[in-house]
Amino acid sequence: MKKINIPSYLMRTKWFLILLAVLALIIFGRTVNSPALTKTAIVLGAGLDYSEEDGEFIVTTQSVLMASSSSDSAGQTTYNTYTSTGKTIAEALDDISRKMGLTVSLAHCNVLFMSQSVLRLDHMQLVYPLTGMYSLPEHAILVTGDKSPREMLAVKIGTTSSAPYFLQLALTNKEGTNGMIRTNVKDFLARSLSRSKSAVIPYITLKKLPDQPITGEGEQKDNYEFDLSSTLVFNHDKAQVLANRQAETLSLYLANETFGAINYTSDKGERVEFRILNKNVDSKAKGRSITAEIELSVELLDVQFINSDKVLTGADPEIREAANKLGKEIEQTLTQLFELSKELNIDFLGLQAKAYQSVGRHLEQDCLKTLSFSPKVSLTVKETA
Amino acid sequence: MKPARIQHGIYKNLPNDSIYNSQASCIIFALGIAFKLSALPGVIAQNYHSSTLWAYLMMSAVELVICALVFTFVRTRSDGLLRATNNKAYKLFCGICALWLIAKGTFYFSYCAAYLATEQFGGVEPALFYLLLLAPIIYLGVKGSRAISRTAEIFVPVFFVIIVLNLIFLDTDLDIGRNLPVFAIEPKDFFAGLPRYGLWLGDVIPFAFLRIKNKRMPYASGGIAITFLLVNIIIFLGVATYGEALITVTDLLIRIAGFNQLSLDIGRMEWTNLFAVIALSIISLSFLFYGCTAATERAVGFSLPAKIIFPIVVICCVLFAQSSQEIAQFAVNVTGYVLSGIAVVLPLLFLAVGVYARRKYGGIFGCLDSEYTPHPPLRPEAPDSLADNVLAGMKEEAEQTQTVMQNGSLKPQEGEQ
Repeated sequence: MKKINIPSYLMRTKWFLILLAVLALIIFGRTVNSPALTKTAIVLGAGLDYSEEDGEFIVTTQSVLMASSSSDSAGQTTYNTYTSTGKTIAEALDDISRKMGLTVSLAHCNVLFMSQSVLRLDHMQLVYPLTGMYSLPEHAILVTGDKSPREMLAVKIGTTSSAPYFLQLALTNKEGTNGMIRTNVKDFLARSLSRSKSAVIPYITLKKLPDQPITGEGEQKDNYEFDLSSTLVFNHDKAQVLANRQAETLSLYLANETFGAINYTSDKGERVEFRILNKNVDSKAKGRSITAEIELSVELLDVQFINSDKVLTGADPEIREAANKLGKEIEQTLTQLFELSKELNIDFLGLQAKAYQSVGRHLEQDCLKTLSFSPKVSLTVKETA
Repeated sequence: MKPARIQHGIYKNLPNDSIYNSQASCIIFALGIAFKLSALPGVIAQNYHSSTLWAYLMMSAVELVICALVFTFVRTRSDGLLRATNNKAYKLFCGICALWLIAKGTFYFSYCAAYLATEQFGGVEPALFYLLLLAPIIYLGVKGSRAISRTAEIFVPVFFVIIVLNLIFLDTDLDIGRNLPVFAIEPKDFFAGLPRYGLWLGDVIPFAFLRIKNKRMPYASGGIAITFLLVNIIIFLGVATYGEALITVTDLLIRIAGFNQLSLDIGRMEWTNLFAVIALSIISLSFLFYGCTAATERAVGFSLPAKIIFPIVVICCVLFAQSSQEIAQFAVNVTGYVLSGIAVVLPLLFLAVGVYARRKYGGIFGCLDSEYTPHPPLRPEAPDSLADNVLAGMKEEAEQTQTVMQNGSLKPQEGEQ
């Protein structure tokens, strides 16, 4: 019989690797508590609040249950909202796990509601445990609003039962967000830790639906709608809500991508609506002077109250003039925003960070009032579809 | 003479401690990506802020010099001569190199374990994770250069494509101006602080103990160029993406894959680069382990001490220290300056002792080298035009032999460095 030298045989073949893999699986399977998907609460949205009186974090999660073991309820989607308090965010999340009897996973959480009291805390310490230990995606969108995160997460939206799911569609997937800024966790930290020490996130206003949805069982009650047209600009000390044209203009300047429509109304009441196709923002600093050139590609969407007897297109002088005037209006709004940022001492345009790139390490902290800003906006009207 | 064709099964015919230049380029890629693009950007950003890219460029320049020194040493084929002549200085330097590689391996293992265990495998008992990570490293290291180079050759092209695709599909808000100003800190602090990161220098030194056989294309130099370019491009994009928030990034390569524009449609994409980081870390650490065994073999005549000591030191350090982060942080202190010094001085010493030995033992070198160099095939390629009944191929060989007798060295042949 052929004698086999086992150690040498193992060293020469792939069997050692296979054995190793099997060993690893056995050890992991026997000793490591790896939760199954059915025992995991997939969190769609999380909310962070901070009670200054108690010094405690109030954490809310809304999770969707994947499946049910009982056959009668199989296929139904259940959204569960739980709230808990803790000295740290982790303590509150652990408490939610205990309440649910499931392991909380933020790996699929795409919306993070923050209260304004939380935004006054250390931003890095706020976010780092969530992205590190709880695997919160860095592309999760941050939002705040006029109600507490707990209330915002619990409301029913007319089109869906889940508020985070609605926001995920609206903000992350860029559907139906006219001029909304989308600040994700990474951008929030990048702006907050920069020389500007300020950030911008969407500010949501909650309104009860004037006309409640009607089903076969009658009118459904307590449905709400989110008003997404405002923005909160803030640093550690102060915050300010910007609405409508100011919020839209800020989004044009700051956001990576801007979708939706923008309108111009003349003094005579002529109205032209443009859809933004593309934008290019080139912001440069030369010493303490910052210039921003914004090039917008738009297409004509709608025309009202213009005295004309023909079908107007993007090539007509009336439309081109309206586009030029809209460009000037955006320039004025940007200049107003700059003045407002100086007045509030919240550098939400990120000008100190820009000046730092040019001036260098000798640029003093908190120097917003010493900077100048000149925006230039040009609109190009493309062919109408 | 035409270079030898690479045929199926030729890898098994390579002598021990010999690899192809294409395999060398794959190992260089693994070393560059696994160690320099995981947690290091965040570590450097804590002190260098917007100067992180410029610190990386400085480190890349030093690493390129080390690469040039090491590959010149390999090209001179002095290792065989120094071993044959029992050179005491070389033995001493190899001993130092083995100790340095043990220290480097321990620090690197802690560094890899820190970012893999804490972030990617949260909730897993660290000791269990260390043992599982160490097992393939020991296996590959003990198997030697052939197993490591073949593993690298199989995995690296796949991971290269994945990393490049993740960069192509990168979709996030970035500001390239965040790489400015160049000197976010005082220039003297900038330069004085760089040697602290000496742990990340000299990863290519184990190549000194290998013979590199060239294929037609300059894979090794190409691999070095592509790796250094890719590393600095990713750092450039990383700083542009995160700015000051780079300090919160525990693994840049994995995090940057999260901003893949496909992730909106097909879910989170971090796992693509996570596999790359784990596999490349294992290949890189096993290469350092191999380097340690090879250096020990040259220092004391056999490699067993390194095969035992390296894993024991590594595992004891990570098990008995309070945390692997503690060991990794220790390496970025005064220890970093020592590691930097050794990483730069060792290749210089190797080269110096190699040049000295070649001059002293030129005759031996020729004979020693011919032992490894295959003789050209005695194939008459064309009829002899002079009609002196001696074929052209034979004449060439006779001329070469004569040259060896006169100069004591063989002309390097094609397909051989």
